[in-house]
Amino acid sequence: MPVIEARGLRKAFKDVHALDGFDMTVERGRIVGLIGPNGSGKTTALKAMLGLSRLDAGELHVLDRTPADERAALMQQVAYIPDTGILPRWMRVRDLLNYAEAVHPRFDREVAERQLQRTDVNLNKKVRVLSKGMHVQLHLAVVLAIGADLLVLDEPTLGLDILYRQQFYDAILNDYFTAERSIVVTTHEVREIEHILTDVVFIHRGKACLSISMDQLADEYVKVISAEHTELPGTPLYRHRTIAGQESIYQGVTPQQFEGLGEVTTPNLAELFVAVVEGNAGRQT
Amino acid sequence: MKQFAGLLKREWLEHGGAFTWSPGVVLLVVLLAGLVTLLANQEADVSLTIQERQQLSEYTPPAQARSDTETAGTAEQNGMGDVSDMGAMEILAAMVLDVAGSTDAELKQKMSLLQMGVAQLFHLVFIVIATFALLASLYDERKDASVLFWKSMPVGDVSTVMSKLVFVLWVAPVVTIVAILIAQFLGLALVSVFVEEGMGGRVWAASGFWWQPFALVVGYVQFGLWMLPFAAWVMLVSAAAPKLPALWAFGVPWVLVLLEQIFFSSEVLAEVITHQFKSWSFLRGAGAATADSLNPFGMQLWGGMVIAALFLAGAVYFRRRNNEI
Repeated sequence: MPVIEARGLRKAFKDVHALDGFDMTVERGRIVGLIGPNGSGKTTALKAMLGLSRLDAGELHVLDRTPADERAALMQQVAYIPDTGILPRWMRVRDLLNYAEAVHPRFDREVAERQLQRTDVNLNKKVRVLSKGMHVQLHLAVVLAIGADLLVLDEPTLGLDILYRQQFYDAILNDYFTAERSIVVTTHEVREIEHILTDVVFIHRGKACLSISMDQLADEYVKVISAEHTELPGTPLYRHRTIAGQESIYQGVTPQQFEGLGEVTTPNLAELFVAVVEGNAGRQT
Repeated sequence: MKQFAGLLKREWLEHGGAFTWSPGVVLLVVLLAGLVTLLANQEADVSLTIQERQQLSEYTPPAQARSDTETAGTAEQNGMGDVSDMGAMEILAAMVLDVAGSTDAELKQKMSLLQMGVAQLFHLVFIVIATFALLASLYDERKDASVLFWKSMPVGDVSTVMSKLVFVLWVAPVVTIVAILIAQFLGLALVSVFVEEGMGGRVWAASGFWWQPFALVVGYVQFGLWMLPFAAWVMLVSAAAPKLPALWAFGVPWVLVLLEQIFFSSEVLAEVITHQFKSWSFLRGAGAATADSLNPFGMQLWGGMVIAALFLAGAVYFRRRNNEI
């Protein structure tokens, strides 16, 4: 049974289709990156998965539950960190931990306090006075102490400096992730999470335009960097000129056929996203 | 149960400050006013003649929430030109302190009025703070986006809404009740010090002070039940208003009352609303004197609860759907 099973999700805000038949599946023990530009429907999809908003149509099951109707029960197993600091600013750190302990059956206070000892977050401080980085560290400590089966991260490191960002993903990998747990993450900084993902879903205009595991991706897509005007076999998905010459992204080809014609690598996610979304336009050039 | 207690504690952390410092300030003001009045009276050495005493026993003291001008008017009508020359506080002090000349029944009434008068300002301040807390209850969390955090916890919207309602109506008053009891106790203590020698015992006996905690708790429980529709309405607005919840909370009923007057020339809504607020009398300890229509078995209380339930269902509905503003 997948952790998340989304079929044909639709959601419109007035006349804007935020989700327009979105599909996504997340299996246990996977780290799935949901990649797309602003306004592509990422946050709308995540909010639906968390039971924070209702869909107009489609089937959505998260850990065997219907999020919109069973949010409270679902949140025993799901944790969430969004892009903006959402912890109550008037609360003291200690009171926040007390609260989580009182209302969340899985919250392990020791884990949270141990995690906070590694940071500069003081238990007596109010959330209001914490820096953006410390705010995220505190939220991370709460999330780690819950030990949820599914962790949803929506641009969690937005606005953080590089040191905090690195620490954040290290903690997620070392202190949270296990074969039993799953993560869905969105971010602008695709490069930052590329190496930790096991799967990726590209979302564009409310639709999933590619769902693939990183292993498959390496088998399926090839990037060839060649000198300009080099004749390459087949039709690339996307091609564009660079200072070094031209870069072509191919789908479903063997790297061997490009031997001697240029440098053959696997495209990174940003390149692949452009190739998939702009694929048709690319073919025409 | 552990979760609901945690939710109430959360409410206490957010609003407990306002519910504590406000009666604290009132306590200081009331005590200071009491002390000044008694000291002033001592210096003025008001001694009452039998005639004056008789007039005063028929006189309604300012403790019953009348303004000074009204008080003077009443005194005039009662033909009490002489005593109305005295300041209101002086009259009050003179009356209260004249223990020897009062019968047990008179003294009992005086002490009852004194305690009620002391409590009055506390009740008023509580209602103001409670209204603000309810207006903020489901609005502030949307404004600062913390609603996303609260909703990331396994707490249902019904539990959340109920915890906020129960906290304001039946948990927060505890602080006010304690402050009132302290004020009443110190007030009676002051009076018993300032009265004629050997009369302190009569003051305490007549005060019925030891029943006060019970009376106040019962009063607030009843008041809360009658105020349910109002509180639920304010919470509904707090959950639904895109901005300025106070404006919506008071503006909508005001416009409806106005429309009813214009189109139907009737005042049914206005009467229903003002009747609900008559439950204020429960706080004044005047339970026995309240109108039949405030009967706990009457239609209006139960009708109010049905309306409150509808408003609360609405608050839950919007809490479920609305996130950040």
